Amino acid sequence: MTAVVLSTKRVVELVDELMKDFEVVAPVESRGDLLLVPIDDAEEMTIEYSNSNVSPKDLFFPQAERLFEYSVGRGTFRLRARPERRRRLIFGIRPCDVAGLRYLDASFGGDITDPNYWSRRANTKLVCIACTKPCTESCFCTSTNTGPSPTTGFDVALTPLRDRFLAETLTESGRRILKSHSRVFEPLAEDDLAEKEKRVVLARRRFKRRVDVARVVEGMNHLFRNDIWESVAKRCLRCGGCTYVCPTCYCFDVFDWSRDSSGERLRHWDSCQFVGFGRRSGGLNARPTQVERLRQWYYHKFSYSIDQLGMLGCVGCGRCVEACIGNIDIVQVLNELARM
Amino acid sequence: MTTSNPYLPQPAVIKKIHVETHDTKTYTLVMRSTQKQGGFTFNPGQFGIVNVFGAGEAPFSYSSSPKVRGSFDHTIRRMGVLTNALAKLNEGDVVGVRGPYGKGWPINEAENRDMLLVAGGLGLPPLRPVISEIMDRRGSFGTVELLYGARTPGDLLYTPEYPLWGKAGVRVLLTVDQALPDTAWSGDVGLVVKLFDKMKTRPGEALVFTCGPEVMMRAVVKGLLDRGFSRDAIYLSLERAMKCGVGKCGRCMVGGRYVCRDGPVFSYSDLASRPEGLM
Amino acid sequence: MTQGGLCVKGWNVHEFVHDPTRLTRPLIRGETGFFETDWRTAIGLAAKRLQEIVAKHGPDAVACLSSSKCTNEENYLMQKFARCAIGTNNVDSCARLCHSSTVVGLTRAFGESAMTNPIEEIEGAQVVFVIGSNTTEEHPLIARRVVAAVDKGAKLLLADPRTIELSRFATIYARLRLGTDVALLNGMMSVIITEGLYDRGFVETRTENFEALRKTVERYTPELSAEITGVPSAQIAEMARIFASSKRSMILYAMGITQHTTGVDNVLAIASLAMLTGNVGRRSSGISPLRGHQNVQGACDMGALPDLYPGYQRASDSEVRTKLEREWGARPPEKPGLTITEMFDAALEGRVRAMYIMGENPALTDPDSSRVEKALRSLEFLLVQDIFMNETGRLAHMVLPAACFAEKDGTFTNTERRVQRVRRAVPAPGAAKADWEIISLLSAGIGYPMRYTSPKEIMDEIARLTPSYAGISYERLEGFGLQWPCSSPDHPGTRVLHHRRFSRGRGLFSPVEYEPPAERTSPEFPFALTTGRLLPQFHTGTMTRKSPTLEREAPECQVEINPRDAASLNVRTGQFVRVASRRGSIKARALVTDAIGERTAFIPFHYAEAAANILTNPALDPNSKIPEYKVCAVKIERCE
Repeated sequence: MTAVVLSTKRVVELVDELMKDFEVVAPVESRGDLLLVPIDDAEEMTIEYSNSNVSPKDLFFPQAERLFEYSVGRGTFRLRARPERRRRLIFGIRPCDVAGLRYLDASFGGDITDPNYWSRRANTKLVCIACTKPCTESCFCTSTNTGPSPTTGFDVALTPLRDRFLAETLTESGRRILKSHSRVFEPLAEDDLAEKEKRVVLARRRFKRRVDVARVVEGMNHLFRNDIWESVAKRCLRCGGCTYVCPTCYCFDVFDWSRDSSGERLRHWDSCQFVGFGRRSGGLNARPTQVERLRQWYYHKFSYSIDQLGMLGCVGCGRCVEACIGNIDIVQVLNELARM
Repeated sequence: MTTSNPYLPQPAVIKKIHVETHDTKTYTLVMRSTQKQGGFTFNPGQFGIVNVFGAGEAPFSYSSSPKVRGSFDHTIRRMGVLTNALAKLNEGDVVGVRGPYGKGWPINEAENRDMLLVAGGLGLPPLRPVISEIMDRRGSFGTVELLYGARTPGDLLYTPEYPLWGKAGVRVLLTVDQALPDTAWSGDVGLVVKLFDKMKTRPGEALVFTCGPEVMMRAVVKGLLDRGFSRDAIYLSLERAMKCGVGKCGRCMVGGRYVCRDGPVFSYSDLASRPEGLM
Repeated sequence: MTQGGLCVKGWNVHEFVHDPTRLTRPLIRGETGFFETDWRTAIGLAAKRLQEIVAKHGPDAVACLSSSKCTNEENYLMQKFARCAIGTNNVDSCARLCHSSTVVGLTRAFGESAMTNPIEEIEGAQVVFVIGSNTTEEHPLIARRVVAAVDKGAKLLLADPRTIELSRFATIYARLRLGTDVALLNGMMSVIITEGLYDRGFVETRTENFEALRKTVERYTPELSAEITGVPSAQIAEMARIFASSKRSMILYAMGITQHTTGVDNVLAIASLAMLTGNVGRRSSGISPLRGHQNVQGACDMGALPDLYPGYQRASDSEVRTKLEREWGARPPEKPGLTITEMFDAALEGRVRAMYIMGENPALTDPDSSRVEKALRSLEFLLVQDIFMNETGRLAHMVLPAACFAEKDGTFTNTERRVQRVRRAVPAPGAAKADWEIISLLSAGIGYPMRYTSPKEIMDEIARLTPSYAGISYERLEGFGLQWPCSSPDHPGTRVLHHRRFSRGRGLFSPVEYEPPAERTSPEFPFALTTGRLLPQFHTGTMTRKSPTLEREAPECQVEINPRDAASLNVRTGQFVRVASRRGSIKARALVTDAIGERTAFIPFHYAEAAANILTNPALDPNSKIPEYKVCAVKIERCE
């Protein structure tokens, strides 16, 4: 990893320069909400921030998007799909969300790949800003090993030191960014790396909410029929909020909007928590009650993902806790599972 | 097979429509592009996705012999939005197709072994390609029996083919759930599992392929296990709500695996080892 | 205030905004159907038709229906249009059909009819009494607060004829018979008085008419209440004790209380219960009438009501009329106008000949749909303004395309009296315009110009004329909004109502007697039908049925039938049944569940193809004129 230093005073300057080559997406404060949005001006950005309510997955996998347009003619049909190719750079993505993207990369990758996701993902660079403390009351990334300092998945990682950031790169793109904007960066001071390590340790200690994830994962095999699922499911009001805000949830539904002989095929976010998610023609439903549906969400994240992808399906961002209108706290549930 | 965009259907022409029953038809499709025709091939047990723009898409097993190059069959019952839209189409009309997807029946495992095929209702179409393959190289397999049940005699599929299957050494046992007294049905009445009492296949070396409504497959598996068949000799073809067909949309997951990508054929020992299995 | 959460509708409602079937151009009905035209032609024609009708039959021949989905500014303009451009008080909104009982009842008891405490205080309550509200499905974000309160140790008392989801969290769940709320409440109050659990200090210093209340409720012993309601007397007594045990007891109610011929009585009984125990005017207490539409509170506040002006100032008050005349340049009429249900009667009798309907679908939402349809068809001129074509639009002579909430600026007032900004996020499709612009154009066409360059100016005018909104302006609404009353530009807004004194001075106990619903069951119609809503759908589904996700979640009408009744009808879940009342019949699939009691049935009203309101009874509460949606008599038969 190449490492250099970026003074906090020169962040705006760096972003200004980056905006010449990329569409930059950065944290912006808007009426009390924090959003990760494309900026027109580096001054719009805020560096003192926690995290957005909704994960940045919508930058790669929007809540609603067109798969293709179609028009049906005599004896055939024509399709048009327009993949996005804008060069983007996310400046200020958090380590948990970087991990979320790694998970989506695996889910949308494989033998057959999702072209819509990848056309955006392949053209986006990630400049991650590490956390020095929990972003909200709900997050728990130290338990899922996805923060507060990122170890992989980014192009450039910035770790806050006192009045500057330690900038480290992982990828060739990251190195190129540092190189093309080298005049904004400064060389490392002698004990900068040690300072960084110290701060990471300090940041980790600030996380009071902890889960023994390994124990949970181990226990999942025999907890499928446990009563806990019913007691948690009774609070679930089927809003889908947890799945919508989650950085690793990727289920979607597909449907056509038609007008006479042409139209478009759209996809948008779906949720395993919805009643109709598993329902087939004829009314059969693979998961007929909220008990099965709620259990599926936990199993997908803490059991199946490990089987299938070798990765945990949760990045500890805690957004689901904030979004849940039935006051279900994933950390409480996991801790209860770990106790069994 | 990875296309550049797996969500784009390819045009296929309805070459022939054969009416099987009052609500089920077999559509023979041919890829419109002759180039694609030649390259098209599938394994028995795989499925394809048929698309009618405006009505949507749905997955259907291939029900024809894989040896027939250039064309493929889907046997489809009219049930929902898409299948009703399909039922209104004619020979010569064009639909969109995607596929083939999924893992098919492990026919090669059955070589030199006895085979038992147990089908209920629309569970027969995915097994028909297996029958075709068996008929093509009958010598490679031991005894072959087909136990097949439908709701009423009028719902039995592919009835003209039974004698051909019989002649080719596939013993066909039929039953219906109910037969009204005025129909000319002299065969068995009752659920498919009742036919276990009549079948000749013994556990031991036999391989079982079964497909049908899940409540039926559960009864079939129980009946087979009770008779001493082993879990890893039983293969099932599952059906779940499906949209993308390529393991991306999350919908068809069973116990962590995708029916569209890791199935639809699963061994029972595999399914039994997972917390979420048959419905 | 929603703490970053949304219900399933909130997460998916965007799906309808870009629906290609949005209305984009003015439509005029011709011989063969609707044809598109431009704004100038449409407004010109509409103005002409309205003027003709006014000239020939007088201003009261026109009736206006305002929308609880439109902004405050738009509701304000609609009532101004009716009163100044046309000259009639015939203006009403669908609040008539949901919370008019609240307006009449709480005004009589307290002097003011809005939610007394802020939503967030629900979490701090020690006792939450939910009656006639399926909170988790109708107000999920409020249910969140209730669940949070229970998590913190609060006791939840629940009264509902159906075993709703919220009952999972209830300390006591009382399943009462349809329409017996007064008996339950009187029964609770009699226990509280008999056992000396009432707040003497509060009753003596803050209320009046206690003796009359005592004499009435004394007769409603727990045994008598049990006989009427079907709730065990021990439960009634226990609920009473629990409720009276705390000074942080809150009552939440909704349509199960208001939509009865005894709707006002039900509200009065609730008000009495709160006052009896001293639970008004302090933190985490009071009464929460849960408002449904995003701006039904605002529609009422803005005076889209036939007998009230903005800020609930009375139409009968000549001083108010003079004040308004000074600002408006036209004297608003004195005689109270027609309520919605009366408008349709008047149309059938030929007294109302034109209607201007904005953002409402009475062909589906009003009781006795075939009567409503006949009434709409009988009009000489029906003008509809909406975002989508719907059942009412299809009957119109002209349909004007409007912008939806995401496409215009304005303000909404929510159930806790909080006025908040709504901001334009995307442009309206095609030639659709914001409702306030359309009303202004039409008004100018009739000869009463409305010159506003923006909704902000409209709010400034509202603030000038409405004491409770006097301190509200767009600059002050930049943050989380303001709760009225907000009487001056530096007033911070009001969290809790009736803190030191009630708006009318002392709170008034209005004793009420139990009266059964208007339509009783009979051998021919042996089932009591109640109607309501489902979580994924909103009202007539104009928006939600266009969202594929929401529509998939609840795609069709299902009649809830008790298992014993299902057995005697020989019906299973999924089979079609025919449900018929004296007014009509519908066909829908049965859903067999013990969430509904014996000889009772439930039908959600979202589905045009199985419209519950074909069955419902247009009998009204005599004071609030709200229809009795919640009870009518039906028979059920298997179809297939």
